[in-house]
Amino acid sequence: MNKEFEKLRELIVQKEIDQLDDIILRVKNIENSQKRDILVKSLSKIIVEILVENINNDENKIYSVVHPFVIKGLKEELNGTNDEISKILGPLISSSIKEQVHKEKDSIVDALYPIMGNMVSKYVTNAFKNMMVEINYKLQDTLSTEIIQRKIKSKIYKISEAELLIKESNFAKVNSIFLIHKESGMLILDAHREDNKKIDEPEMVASMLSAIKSFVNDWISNQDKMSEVSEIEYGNSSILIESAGSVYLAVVIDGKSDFNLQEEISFTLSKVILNHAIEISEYDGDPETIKSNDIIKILSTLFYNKSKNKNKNKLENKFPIFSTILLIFFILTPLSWSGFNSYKEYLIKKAEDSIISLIQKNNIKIYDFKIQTDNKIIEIEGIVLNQNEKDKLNILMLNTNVVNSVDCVNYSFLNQYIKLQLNKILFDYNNKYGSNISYIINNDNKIILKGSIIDINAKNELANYLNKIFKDYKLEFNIKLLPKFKDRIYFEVSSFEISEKYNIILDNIYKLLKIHNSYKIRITGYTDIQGDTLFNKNLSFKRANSVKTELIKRGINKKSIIISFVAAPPNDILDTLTQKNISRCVAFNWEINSSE
Amino acid sequence: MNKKQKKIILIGSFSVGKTSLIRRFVENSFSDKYISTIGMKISKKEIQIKDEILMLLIWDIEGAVNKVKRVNKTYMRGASGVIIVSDISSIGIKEDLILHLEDFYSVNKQDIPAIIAFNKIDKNKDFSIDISDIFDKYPSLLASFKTSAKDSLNVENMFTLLSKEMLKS
Ligand SMILES: Nc1nc2c(ncn2[C@@H]2O[C@H](COP(=O)(O)OP(=O)(O)OP(=O)(O)O)[C@@H](O)[C@H]2O)c(=O)[nH]1
Ligand SMILES: [Mg+2]
Repeated sequence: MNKEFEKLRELIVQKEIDQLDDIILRVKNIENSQKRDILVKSLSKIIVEILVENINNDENKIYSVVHPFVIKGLKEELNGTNDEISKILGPLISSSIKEQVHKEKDSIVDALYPIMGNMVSKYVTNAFKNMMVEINYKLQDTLSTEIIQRKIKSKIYKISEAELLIKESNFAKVNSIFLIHKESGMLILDAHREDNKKIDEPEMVASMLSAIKSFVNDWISNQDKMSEVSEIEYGNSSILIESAGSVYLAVVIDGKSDFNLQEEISFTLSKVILNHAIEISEYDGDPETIKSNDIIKILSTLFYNKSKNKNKNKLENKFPIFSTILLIFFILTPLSWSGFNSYKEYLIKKAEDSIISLIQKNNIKIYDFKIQTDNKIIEIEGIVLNQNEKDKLNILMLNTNVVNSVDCVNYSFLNQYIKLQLNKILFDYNNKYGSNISYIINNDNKIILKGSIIDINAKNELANYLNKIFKDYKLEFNIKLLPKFKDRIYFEVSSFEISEKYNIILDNIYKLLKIHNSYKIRITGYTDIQGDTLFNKNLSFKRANSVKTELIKRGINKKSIIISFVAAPPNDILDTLTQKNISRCVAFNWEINSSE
Repeated sequence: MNKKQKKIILIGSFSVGKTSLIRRFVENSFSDKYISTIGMKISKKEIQIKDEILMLLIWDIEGAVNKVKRVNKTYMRGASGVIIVSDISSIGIKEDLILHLEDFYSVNKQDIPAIIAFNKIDKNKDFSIDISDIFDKYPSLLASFKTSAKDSLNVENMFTLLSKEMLKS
């Protein structure tokens, strides 16, 4: 029944009901809007008063209410294409960046100045000048939201090649060494060639170097995954960086690095790591946990390195030169050009070490063992004395990516082989150092070296080298060290007359020649840079000759004296213009090679 | 060389006052001007803790501009202590703190002590915030300080507390 009634109602009055609903809704709306209008009207009269009142009472609160909107608005503006804000903020920000560069400049120069030497401040100032020009240019040209967000991280600029050429120098001399904890940038220890050249704040230097290193590595790694900073150049000095797992070495040198020095540095670092790996990797800033004396002893060998820079055309191999805004005003050379890569090297070393220990464990004796790595292939070379050992080796290297090129030979072949190698090494060596070292191999296969040499370092170098190459043999060194002739005889302008004051020197030379009477002496005459070449040639000959005469007078056999003469100052005169008085001289050297 | 060294880093979004806090601590000075740090800047200060002299190497790292563009984390590595700075007058303080803590502990050991600095407290002395959940989440978080580089409030205290803690480990 009910249902029927409902239906009926719908049919008769639905229209009226809907209309009624509509009317009710409208009335409600009218009511609301009227209320709102009234409210707005009455509030707007006092809203300013409320604000004023509130600001007076609690400025901070109002500020904190309004602040988020301001920031939000600002952010939206910055991210949008609208450059209104850029225009307003531009001048402000560009001046703040400028100011920072100015301010930082001094503190950077101050902190690094001691290791930079005199030349450097000039270069630094120049570099900064260039940078300022660049920055100004950049800011004027492309002031964008990116810059506002301080995205200026790096910039490429070039120093003229001429400037770089000035900095070319022949010898790389190691001045300071820093051993630095890689992660934290904390200094573990520092060593210096001379104590008075110590650096004031080595801890700061270490930190800054680490920061520069991270900064640049981060930047370079975006371009080239395999390279890392290896060298920072400034003025006519460089800082070479050699990294290992937990530490790195920063070696400050005069002049430019060359491959030999780099190799030596990497060798020295591996020696340090080999002996002190644990203490240095766990370094937490406490110097007492480090055996500094031991480590410094190892590192100090680098001070005696005097490798000559053979690579005069290095400039051409150079990567683009970068500079970055913060402290990076140096010139940085990524490593790839030198074929050096620390991390790769590290992996290779690890692989090689494990092969060596495998061979040792199995008691295989390989003569003249060499291991070479090229990309992913490791090749071992050498000689074993019986087929058994060779087979054993083949089995060991099965299923590895090691190429086994070890040969099996008989004993007399081995002997022959050693002789060949020794001949070659000693020939090169005698040529290089003017020595006369020869060898014999005695009945128990011991290699005995004899002869003489002047330079103690050269002697050590030979010993180290041979010990490395012939580590499977017994070696005996019977090498005599000849004293160096330190003194020279100097002459007046255009003169070849020997002053009386040189008698003591001549007497000493006489005594030395008497003691080492199986050796000859070479006397070389020199002149200053003034004067005609032909005249100078004659003059230098006469100078050498008058010294020869003096020695003969004292009783030296003239066959033991060889003379030579050059119409120029000796090589070791640094400034031929101001050092003329010491350019005019005669110098003495042993002539070992041609002695019987 | 016989002094102990420790590396402290200051991180936090840009313009929160990292450089100002360091300048207050190291040079005892302050400037109203905002000179944004580019890359990083390192300062040194020696302090005495009991009878030991400690050399602090303080790394001031440029502030991240937003959530996406974070700063180079390699600067953060190997720190013995960290101060995370936030500006009390900015928005999203907690979110910002967590981002920085995450950045830091993603490259450092979990037991490195950290301190939070609510900086520019001179602007609103009534500022307060509940960060107990952050303390729960990061057990190495030592303390939080309300600081003012401008009025020299709590700056020294904060560095000293961190240094003492670093010496313990
Ligand atoms: N009122 C007040 N202002 C401060 C305080 N600390 C810093 N400021 C100001 O805040 C602004 C930014 O300070 P900075 O120290 O340069 O900030 P930052 O964190 O180093 O910034 P970035 O280097 O860009 O990451 C400057 O204008 C300072 O004067 C403070 O304690 N109180
Ligand atoms: Mg700053």
